Amino acid sequence: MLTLGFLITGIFLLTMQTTLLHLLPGWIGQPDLLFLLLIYIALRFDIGRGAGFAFFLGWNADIVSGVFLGLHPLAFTLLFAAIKWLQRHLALDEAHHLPALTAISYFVASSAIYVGANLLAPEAELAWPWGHVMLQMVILAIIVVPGFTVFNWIYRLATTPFRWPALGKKQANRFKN
Amino acid sequence: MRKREKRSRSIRIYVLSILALTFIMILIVTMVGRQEFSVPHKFALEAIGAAQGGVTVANDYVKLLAGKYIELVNVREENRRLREEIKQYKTVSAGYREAVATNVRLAKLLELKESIPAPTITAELIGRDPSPWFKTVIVNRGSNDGVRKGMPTLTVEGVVGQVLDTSPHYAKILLANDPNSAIDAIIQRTRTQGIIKGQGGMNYVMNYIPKKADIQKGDTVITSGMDGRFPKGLPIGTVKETARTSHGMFQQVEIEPSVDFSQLEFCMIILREITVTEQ
Repeated sequence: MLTLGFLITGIFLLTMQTTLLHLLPGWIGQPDLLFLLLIYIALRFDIGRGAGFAFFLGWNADIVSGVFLGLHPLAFTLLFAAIKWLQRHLALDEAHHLPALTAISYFVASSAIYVGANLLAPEAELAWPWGHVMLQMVILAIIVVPGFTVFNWIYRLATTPFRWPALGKKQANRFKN
Repeated sequence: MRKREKRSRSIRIYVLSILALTFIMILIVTMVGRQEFSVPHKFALEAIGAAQGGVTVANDYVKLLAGKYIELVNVREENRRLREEIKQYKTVSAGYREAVATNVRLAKLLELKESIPAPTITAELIGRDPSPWFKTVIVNRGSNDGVRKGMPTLTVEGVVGQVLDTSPHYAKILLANDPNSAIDAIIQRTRTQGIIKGQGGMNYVMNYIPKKADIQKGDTVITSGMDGRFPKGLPIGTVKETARTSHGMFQQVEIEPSVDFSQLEFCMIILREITVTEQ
Protein backbone atom coordinates (compact mmCIF):
# COMPACT_ATOMS: atom_id res chain seq x y z
CA MET A 1 0.00 0.00 0.00
CA LEU A 2 2.88 2.33 0.90
CA THR A 3 4.60 1.58 -2.41
CA LEU A 4 1.41 2.12 -4.41
CA GLY A 5 0.57 5.32 -2.50
CA PHE A 6 3.94 6.89 -3.26
CA LEU A 7 3.98 5.64 -6.87
CA ILE A 8 0.67 7.45 -7.43
CA THR A 9 1.98 10.53 -5.59
CA GLY A 10 5.07 10.58 -7.85
CA ILE A 11 3.03 10.37 -11.06
CA PHE A 12 0.61 13.00 -9.73
CA LEU A 13 3.41 15.45 -8.90
CA LEU A 14 5.07 14.89 -12.27
CA THR A 15 1.76 15.56 -14.04
CA MET A 16 1.22 18.75 -12.04
CA GLN A 17 4.75 19.89 -12.80
CA THR A 18 4.37 19.43 -16.54
CA THR A 19 0.88 20.89 -16.86
CA LEU A 20 -0.43 23.31 -14.22
CA LEU A 21 2.77 24.66 -12.67
CA HIS A 22 3.78 26.11 -16.04
CA LEU A 23 0.87 28.54 -15.68
CA LEU A 24 2.57 30.20 -12.70
CA PRO A 25 4.38 33.45 -13.54
CA GLY A 26 8.11 33.01 -14.14
CA TRP A 27 9.24 35.27 -11.27
CA ILE A 28 7.43 33.05 -8.73
CA GLY A 29 9.18 30.03 -10.17
CA GLN A 30 7.83 26.54 -10.67
CA PRO A 31 8.66 24.35 -7.66
CA ASP A 32 10.25 21.00 -8.47
CA LEU A 33 7.81 18.90 -6.43
CA LEU A 34 9.17 15.59 -7.71
CA PHE A 35 12.56 16.50 -6.30
CA LEU A 36 10.97 17.21 -2.92
CA LEU A 37 9.48 13.73 -2.98
CA LEU A 38 12.93 12.30 -3.80
CA ILE A 39 14.41 13.98 -0.69
CA TYR A 40 11.56 12.63 1.43
CA ILE A 41 12.12 9.11 0.12
CA ALA A 42 15.85 9.36 0.72
CA LEU A 43 15.30 10.37 4.34
CA ARG A 44 12.38 8.13 5.27
CA PHE A 45 12.59 4.93 3.21
CA ASP A 46 14.97 2.00 3.68
CA ILE A 47 17.79 1.48 1.16
CA GLY A 48 16.20 -1.22 -1.00
CA ARG A 49 12.77 0.36 -1.40
CA GLY A 50 14.14 3.92 -1.47
CA ALA A 51 16.66 3.18 -4.22
CA GLY A 52 13.89 1.56 -6.26
CA PHE A 53 11.71 4.63 -5.79
CA ALA A 54 14.52 7.03 -6.66
CA PHE A 55 15.15 5.06 -9.86
CA PHE A 56 11.42 5.01 -10.67
CA LEU A 57 11.06 8.78 -10.19
CA GLY A 58 14.08 9.43 -12.42
CA TRP A 59 12.85 6.95 -15.00
CA ASN A 60 9.51 8.79 -15.21
CA ALA A 61 11.21 12.19 -15.30
CA ASP A 62 13.17 10.93 -18.34
CA ILE A 63 9.93 10.36 -20.24
CA VAL A 64 8.70 13.95 -20.01
CA SER A 65 12.01 15.76 -19.75
CA GLY A 66 15.24 15.86 -21.71
CA VAL A 67 16.59 14.17 -24.77
CA PHE A 68 18.79 11.40 -23.38
CA LEU A 69 17.34 8.52 -21.41
CA GLY A 70 19.03 7.43 -18.18
CA LEU A 71 20.24 10.84 -16.98
CA HIS A 72 17.53 11.39 -14.39
CA PRO A 73 17.60 7.83 -12.96
CA LEU A 74 21.39 8.08 -12.62
CA ALA A 75 21.31 11.51 -10.95
CA PHE A 76 18.40 10.58 -8.64
CA THR A 77 19.90 7.23 -7.57
CA LEU A 78 23.32 8.78 -6.90
CA LEU A 79 21.69 11.58 -4.89
CA PHE A 80 19.67 9.02 -2.95
CA ALA A 81 22.88 7.14 -2.09
CA ALA A 82 24.62 10.37 -1.05
CA ILE A 83 21.76 11.42 1.26
CA LYS A 84 21.60 7.95 2.78
CA TRP A 85 25.34 8.11 3.46
CA LEU A 86 24.99 11.56 5.05
CA GLN A 87 22.10 10.32 7.17
CA ARG A 88 24.19 7.42 8.48
CA HIS A 89 27.45 9.23 9.09
CA LEU A 90 26.38 12.72 10.14
CA ALA A 91 23.99 13.78 12.88
CA LEU A 92 21.33 15.24 10.59
CA ASP A 93 18.68 17.16 12.48
CA GLU A 94 15.69 17.49 10.16
CA ALA A 95 14.24 20.52 11.93
CA HIS A 96 17.41 22.53 11.34
CA HIS A 97 19.15 20.98 8.36
CA LEU A 98 16.26 20.09 6.06
CA PRO A 99 16.01 23.37 4.03
CA ALA A 100 19.79 23.53 3.52
CA LEU A 101 20.02 19.82 2.68
CA THR A 102 17.22 20.15 0.10
CA ALA A 103 18.69 23.25 -1.54
CA ILE A 104 22.21 21.78 -1.75
CA SER A 105 20.85 18.45 -3.00
CA TYR A 106 19.03 20.29 -5.81
CA PHE A 107 22.25 22.01 -6.77
CA VAL A 108 24.13 18.68 -6.80
CA ALA A 109 21.44 16.86 -8.82
CA SER A 110 21.21 19.73 -11.33
CA SER A 111 24.99 19.73 -11.69
CA ALA A 112 24.96 15.95 -12.31
CA ILE A 113 22.30 16.28 -15.03
CA TYR A 114 24.13 19.24 -16.57
CA VAL A 115 27.47 17.41 -16.65
CA GLY A 116 25.83 14.22 -17.97
CA ALA A 117 24.00 16.08 -20.76
CA ASN A 118 27.20 17.91 -21.73
CA LEU A 119 29.16 14.65 -21.84
CA LEU A 120 26.53 12.96 -24.02
CA ALA A 121 26.19 15.90 -26.43
CA PRO A 122 29.18 18.24 -26.14
CA GLU A 123 28.15 20.05 -29.33
CA ALA A 124 24.90 21.21 -27.70
CA GLU A 125 26.83 23.62 -25.42
CA LEU A 126 24.24 23.80 -22.64
CA ALA A 127 24.30 27.01 -20.64
CA TRP A 128 24.21 26.81 -16.84
CA PRO A 129 21.10 28.77 -15.74
CA TRP A 130 22.26 30.34 -12.45
CA GLY A 131 19.05 32.34 -12.03
CA HIS A 132 16.80 29.33 -12.39
CA VAL A 133 18.90 27.08 -10.15
CA MET A 134 19.16 29.69 -7.37
CA LEU A 135 15.44 30.48 -7.51
CA GLN A 136 14.60 26.77 -7.38
CA MET A 137 16.94 26.27 -4.39
CA VAL A 138 15.21 29.09 -2.49
CA ILE A 139 11.72 27.80 -3.38
CA LEU A 140 12.58 24.24 -2.32
CA ALA A 141 14.12 25.45 0.96
CA ILE A 142 10.89 27.34 1.71
CA ILE A 143 8.39 24.63 0.76
CA VAL A 144 10.28 21.59 2.08
CA VAL A 145 8.69 21.68 5.56
CA PRO A 146 5.05 21.99 4.39
CA GLY A 147 5.86 19.49 1.65
CA PHE A 148 7.16 16.97 4.18
CA THR A 149 4.01 17.50 6.26
CA VAL A 150 1.90 16.48 3.25
CA PHE A 151 4.13 13.47 2.50
CA ASN A 152 3.95 12.43 6.18
CA TRP A 153 0.18 12.52 5.90
CA ILE A 154 0.30 10.35 2.76
CA TYR A 155 2.70 7.99 4.57
CA ARG A 156 0.31 7.65 7.51
CA LEU A 157 -2.63 7.18 5.17
CA ALA A 158 -0.81 4.47 3.23
CA THR A 159 0.39 2.58 6.31
CA THR A 160 -2.88 2.67 8.26
CA PRO A 161 -4.85 -0.49 7.49
CA PHE A 162 -8.19 0.26 5.89
CA ARG A 163 -11.27 -1.00 7.72
CA TRP A 164 -14.69 -1.25 6.18
CA PRO A 165 -17.36 0.39 8.34
CA ALA A 166 -19.34 -2.29 10.19
CA LEU A 167 -22.71 -1.75 8.48
CA GLY A 168 -25.72 -3.34 10.07
CA LYS A 169 -23.80 -4.25 13.17
CA LYS A 170 -25.27 -2.85 16.36
CA GLN A 171 -22.98 -0.63 18.38
CA ALA A 172 -22.49 -1.49 22.01
CA ASN A 173 -24.62 0.50 24.45
CA ARG A 174 -22.39 3.24 25.75
CA PHE A 175 -24.84 4.09 28.56
CA LYS A 176 -25.03 0.61 29.97
CA ASN A 177 -23.86 0.35 33.61
CA MET B 1 23.03 -17.49 19.54
CA ARG B 2 20.83 -14.35 19.28
CA LYS B 3 23.86 -12.28 18.41
CA ARG B 4 24.69 -14.70 15.61
CA GLU B 5 21.15 -14.54 14.23
CA LYS B 6 21.21 -10.75 14.34
CA ARG B 7 24.52 -10.72 12.49
CA SER B 8 23.35 -13.09 9.77
CA ARG B 9 20.17 -10.99 9.38
CA SER B 10 22.13 -7.79 8.91
CA ILE B 11 24.43 -9.56 6.41
CA ARG B 12 21.36 -10.72 4.50
CA ILE B 13 19.99 -7.15 4.40
CA TYR B 14 23.34 -5.84 3.15
CA VAL B 15 23.54 -8.50 0.44
CA LEU B 16 19.97 -7.78 -0.69
CA SER B 17 20.60 -4.03 -0.74
CA ILE B 18 23.80 -4.50 -2.75
CA LEU B 19 21.95 -6.78 -5.18
CA ALA B 20 19.13 -4.23 -5.56
CA LEU B 21 21.59 -1.37 -6.11
CA THR B 22 23.60 -3.46 -8.60
CA PHE B 23 20.42 -4.24 -10.52
CA ILE B 24 19.47 -0.56 -10.60
CA MET B 25 22.97 0.45 -11.72
CA ILE B 26 22.86 -2.17 -14.51
CA LEU B 27 19.51 -0.75 -15.63
CA ILE B 28 20.91 2.78 -15.59
CA VAL B 29 24.11 1.84 -17.44
CA THR B 30 22.13 0.10 -20.19
CA MET B 31 19.87 3.12 -20.47
CA VAL B 32 22.21 6.15 -20.31
CA GLY B 33 22.54 7.99 -23.59
CA ARG B 34 19.79 6.14 -25.43
CA GLN B 35 17.31 8.31 -27.26
CA GLU B 36 14.64 5.79 -28.16
CA PHE B 37 11.81 4.81 -25.82
CA SER B 38 11.65 1.16 -24.75
CA VAL B 39 8.29 -0.62 -24.28
CA PRO B 40 8.05 0.27 -20.55
CA HIS B 41 8.84 3.90 -21.40
CA LYS B 42 6.05 3.90 -23.99
CA PHE B 43 3.68 2.36 -21.47
CA ALA B 44 4.61 4.99 -18.87
CA LEU B 45 4.18 7.81 -21.41
CA GLU B 46 0.70 6.46 -22.11
CA ALA B 47 -0.13 6.72 -18.38
CA ILE B 48 1.50 10.12 -17.86
CA GLY B 49 0.05 11.46 -21.13
CA ALA B 50 -3.44 10.39 -20.10
CA ALA B 51 -2.99 12.15 -16.75
CA GLN B 52 -1.64 15.26 -18.48
CA GLY B 53 -4.56 15.23 -20.93
CA GLY B 54 -7.01 14.95 -18.02
CA VAL B 55 -5.40 17.82 -16.15
CA THR B 56 -5.38 19.98 -19.31
CA VAL B 57 -9.12 19.37 -19.84
CA ALA B 58 -9.85 20.05 -16.14
CA ASN B 59 -7.76 23.21 -16.30
CA ASP B 60 -9.68 24.45 -19.37
CA TYR B 61 -12.95 23.79 -17.54
CA VAL B 62 -11.78 25.66 -14.43
CA LYS B 63 -10.69 28.58 -16.63
CA LEU B 64 -14.15 28.61 -18.22
CA LEU B 65 -15.83 28.60 -14.80
CA ALA B 66 -13.50 31.32 -13.51
CA GLY B 67 -14.22 33.41 -16.60
CA LYS B 68 -17.94 33.07 -16.01
CA TYR B 69 -17.55 34.01 -12.36
CA ILE B 70 -15.52 37.13 -13.22
CA GLU B 71 -18.18 38.16 -15.72
CA LEU B 72 -20.81 37.81 -13.00
CA VAL B 73 -18.82 39.91 -10.54
CA ASN B 74 -18.37 42.65 -13.13
CA VAL B 75 -22.07 43.05 -13.85
CA ARG B 76 -23.31 42.72 -10.27
CA GLU B 77 -23.46 46.53 -9.83
CA GLU B 78 -26.01 46.96 -12.57
CA ASN B 79 -29.74 46.29 -12.17
CA ARG B 80 -31.05 42.77 -12.37
CA ARG B 81 -32.69 42.89 -15.75
CA LEU B 82 -29.79 44.64 -17.46
CA ARG B 83 -27.37 42.37 -15.72
CA GLU B 84 -29.09 39.30 -17.10
CA GLU B 85 -29.25 40.86 -20.55
CA ILE B 86 -25.64 41.97 -20.51
CA LYS B 87 -24.56 38.62 -19.22
CA GLN B 88 -26.36 36.95 -22.09
CA TYR B 89 -24.90 39.34 -24.64
CA LYS B 90 -21.45 39.00 -23.18
CA THR B 91 -21.64 35.24 -23.26
CA VAL B 92 -22.92 35.27 -26.83
CA SER B 93 -20.37 37.87 -27.88
CA ALA B 94 -17.51 35.97 -26.20
CA GLY B 95 -18.72 32.84 -27.91
CA TYR B 96 -18.73 34.62 -31.28
CA ARG B 97 -15.33 36.14 -30.68
CA GLU B 98 -13.91 32.77 -29.72
CA ALA B 99 -15.59 31.20 -32.75
CA VAL B 100 -14.17 33.87 -35.04
CA ALA B 101 -10.70 33.49 -33.51
CA THR B 102 -10.88 29.71 -33.84
CA ASN B 103 -12.15 30.09 -37.38
CA VAL B 104 -9.26 32.35 -38.31
CA ARG B 105 -6.76 30.03 -36.67
CA LEU B 106 -8.20 26.93 -38.32
CA ALA B 107 -8.46 28.71 -41.69
CA LYS B 108 -4.78 29.58 -41.44
CA LEU B 109 -3.96 26.02 -40.45
CA LEU B 110 -6.05 24.74 -43.35
CA GLU B 111 -4.33 27.14 -45.72
CA LEU B 112 -0.96 25.91 -44.46
CA LYS B 113 -2.13 22.32 -44.60
CA GLU B 114 -3.09 22.75 -48.26
CA SER B 115 0.23 24.36 -49.09
CA ILE B 116 2.15 21.36 -47.73
CA PRO B 117 2.05 18.33 -50.04
CA ALA B 118 2.41 15.62 -47.35
CA PRO B 119 -0.57 14.74 -45.13
CA THR B 120 -0.59 16.51 -41.79
CA ILE B 121 -2.23 16.03 -38.42
CA THR B 122 -3.08 18.64 -35.76
CA ALA B 123 -1.96 17.95 -32.20
CA GLU B 124 -2.64 19.64 -28.88
CA LEU B 125 0.17 20.32 -26.46
CA ILE B 126 -0.60 18.66 -23.13
CA GLY B 127 2.67 18.78 -21.19
CA ARG B 128 5.87 20.81 -21.02
CA ASP B 129 9.40 19.88 -19.98
CA PRO B 130 9.99 21.14 -16.43
CA SER B 131 13.81 21.25 -16.66
CA PRO B 132 15.69 24.47 -17.46
CA TRP B 133 18.05 22.81 -19.98
CA PHE B 134 15.81 20.86 -22.28
CA LYS B 135 12.92 22.13 -24.38
CA THR B 136 10.52 19.30 -25.13
CA VAL B 137 6.74 19.02 -25.04
CA ILE B 138 4.21 16.17 -25.00
CA VAL B 139 1.37 16.20 -27.57
CA ASN B 140 -1.79 14.12 -27.75
CA ARG B 141 -0.96 12.29 -30.98
CA GLY B 142 1.06 9.11 -31.20
CA SER B 143 2.11 6.19 -33.36
CA ASN B 144 -1.54 5.09 -33.74
CA ASP B 145 -2.17 8.37 -35.58
CA GLY B 146 0.80 7.73 -37.88
CA VAL B 147 3.28 9.89 -35.99
CA ARG B 148 6.89 8.64 -36.18
CA LYS B 149 10.25 9.74 -34.82
CA GLY B 150 11.82 12.57 -36.82
CA MET B 151 8.62 14.00 -38.29
CA PRO B 152 8.65 17.83 -38.54
CA THR B 153 6.27 19.89 -36.43
CA LEU B 154 5.09 23.41 -37.22
CA THR B 155 2.44 26.06 -36.66
CA VAL B 156 1.06 28.81 -38.88
CA GLU B 157 3.96 31.04 -37.73
CA GLY B 158 6.69 28.55 -38.59
CA VAL B 159 8.84 25.62 -37.51
CA VAL B 160 8.22 24.24 -34.00
CA GLY B 161 10.53 21.22 -33.88
CA GLN B 162 10.54 17.51 -34.61
CA VAL B 163 9.14 14.33 -33.09
CA LEU B 164 11.61 12.78 -30.66
CA ASP B 165 9.69 9.70 -29.49
CA THR B 166 6.22 8.23 -29.56
CA SER B 167 3.88 5.93 -27.67
CA PRO B 168 0.58 4.72 -29.20
CA HIS B 169 -1.37 7.87 -28.26
CA TYR B 170 1.24 10.48 -27.34
CA ALA B 171 4.47 11.90 -28.71
CA LYS B 172 7.42 13.84 -27.35
CA ILE B 173 8.47 16.81 -29.49
CA LEU B 174 11.97 18.30 -29.45
CA LEU B 175 11.43 22.05 -29.83
CA ALA B 176 13.65 23.98 -32.22
CA ASN B 177 14.99 26.13 -29.34
CA ASP B 178 16.42 23.07 -27.53
CA PRO B 179 20.24 23.06 -27.57
CA ASN B 180 20.15 19.55 -29.09
CA SER B 181 18.10 20.69 -32.11
CA ALA B 182 19.71 21.52 -35.45
CA ILE B 183 17.88 22.56 -38.64
CA ASP B 184 19.37 23.26 -42.05
CA ALA B 185 18.29 26.79 -43.07
CA ILE B 186 18.87 29.59 -45.59
CA ILE B 187 18.57 33.36 -45.49
CA GLN B 188 15.67 34.04 -47.88
CA ARG B 189 17.13 37.22 -49.41
CA THR B 190 20.70 36.06 -50.08
CA ARG B 191 20.20 32.24 -50.10
CA THR B 192 23.12 31.90 -47.68
CA GLN B 193 23.00 28.50 -46.01
CA GLY B 194 23.61 27.72 -42.34
CA ILE B 195 22.54 25.56 -39.41
CA ILE B 196 19.95 26.81 -36.92
CA LYS B 197 20.77 25.69 -33.38
CA GLY B 198 18.61 26.16 -30.29
CA GLN B 199 20.15 27.76 -27.24
CA GLY B 200 17.67 26.75 -24.57
CA GLY B 201 16.41 30.34 -24.38
CA MET B 202 14.06 32.28 -26.57
CA ASN B 203 16.40 32.77 -29.55
CA TYR B 204 18.28 30.59 -32.03
CA VAL B 205 21.79 30.95 -33.32
CA MET B 206 22.64 30.39 -36.98
CA ASN B 207 26.04 28.72 -37.38
CA TYR B 208 28.47 28.32 -40.28
CA ILE B 209 27.60 31.62 -41.99
CA PRO B 210 30.76 32.87 -43.77
CA LYS B 211 32.11 36.21 -42.57
CA LYS B 212 31.76 37.74 -46.02
CA ALA B 213 28.07 36.83 -46.36
CA ASP B 214 25.72 39.78 -46.53
CA ILE B 215 23.34 39.36 -43.56
CA GLN B 216 21.15 42.19 -42.39
CA LYS B 217 18.95 42.68 -39.37
CA GLY B 218 15.37 41.68 -40.20
CA ASP B 219 16.30 39.13 -42.91
CA THR B 220 13.90 36.19 -43.02
CA VAL B 221 15.28 32.71 -42.34
CA ILE B 222 13.55 29.69 -43.88
CA THR B 223 14.17 25.94 -43.99
CA SER B 224 16.46 24.85 -46.82
CA GLY B 225 15.00 21.36 -47.23
CA MET B 226 18.56 20.04 -47.47
CA ASP B 227 18.36 17.96 -44.30
CA GLY B 228 15.58 15.88 -45.86
CA ARG B 229 13.52 16.35 -42.73
CA PHE B 230 11.81 19.73 -43.09
CA PRO B 231 10.14 20.77 -46.36
CA LYS B 232 11.79 23.73 -48.08
CA GLY B 233 10.55 27.27 -47.40
CA LEU B 234 9.02 27.00 -43.93
CA PRO B 235 9.61 30.17 -41.89
CA ILE B 236 12.02 29.79 -38.96
CA GLY B 237 12.57 33.38 -37.83
CA THR B 238 14.23 36.71 -38.56
CA VAL B 239 17.79 37.92 -38.08
CA LYS B 240 18.05 39.80 -34.79
CA GLU B 241 21.75 40.48 -34.54
CA THR B 242 25.02 39.66 -36.30
CA ALA B 243 28.49 39.60 -34.78
CA ARG B 244 31.84 39.30 -36.57
CA THR B 245 34.91 38.45 -34.54
CA SER B 246 38.51 38.97 -35.68
CA HIS B 247 39.29 35.25 -35.53
CA GLY B 248 37.54 32.35 -37.26
CA MET B 249 35.85 31.93 -40.62
CA PHE B 250 32.23 32.44 -39.62
CA GLN B 251 30.03 35.14 -38.18
CA GLN B 252 27.59 34.68 -35.31
CA VAL B 253 23.98 35.33 -36.30
CA GLU B 254 21.24 35.51 -33.70
CA ILE B 255 17.75 34.63 -34.91
CA GLU B 256 14.44 35.60 -33.36
CA PRO B 257 12.02 32.63 -33.77
CA SER B 258 8.83 33.19 -35.71
CA VAL B 259 7.03 30.94 -33.21
CA ASP B 260 6.31 32.10 -29.66
CA PHE B 261 7.11 28.91 -27.76
CA SER B 262 5.57 30.20 -24.53
CA GLN B 263 2.18 30.57 -26.23
CA LEU B 264 2.22 27.22 -28.01
CA GLU B 265 -1.10 25.36 -27.71
CA PHE B 266 -1.56 23.50 -30.99
CA CYS B 267 0.84 22.35 -33.65
CA MET B 268 0.80 20.41 -36.89
CA ILE B 269 2.84 17.28 -37.56
CA ILE B 270 3.80 16.52 -41.16
CA LEU B 271 3.18 12.82 -41.69
CA ARG B 272 5.86 12.02 -44.19
CA GLU B 273 7.55 8.69 -44.71
CA ILE B 274 10.64 8.12 -42.60
CA THR B 275 13.48 6.34 -44.33
CA VAL B 276 15.42 3.56 -42.62
CA THR B 277 18.57 5.69 -42.41
CA GLU B 278 16.68 8.47 -40.63
CA GLN B 279 15.33 6.06 -38.05
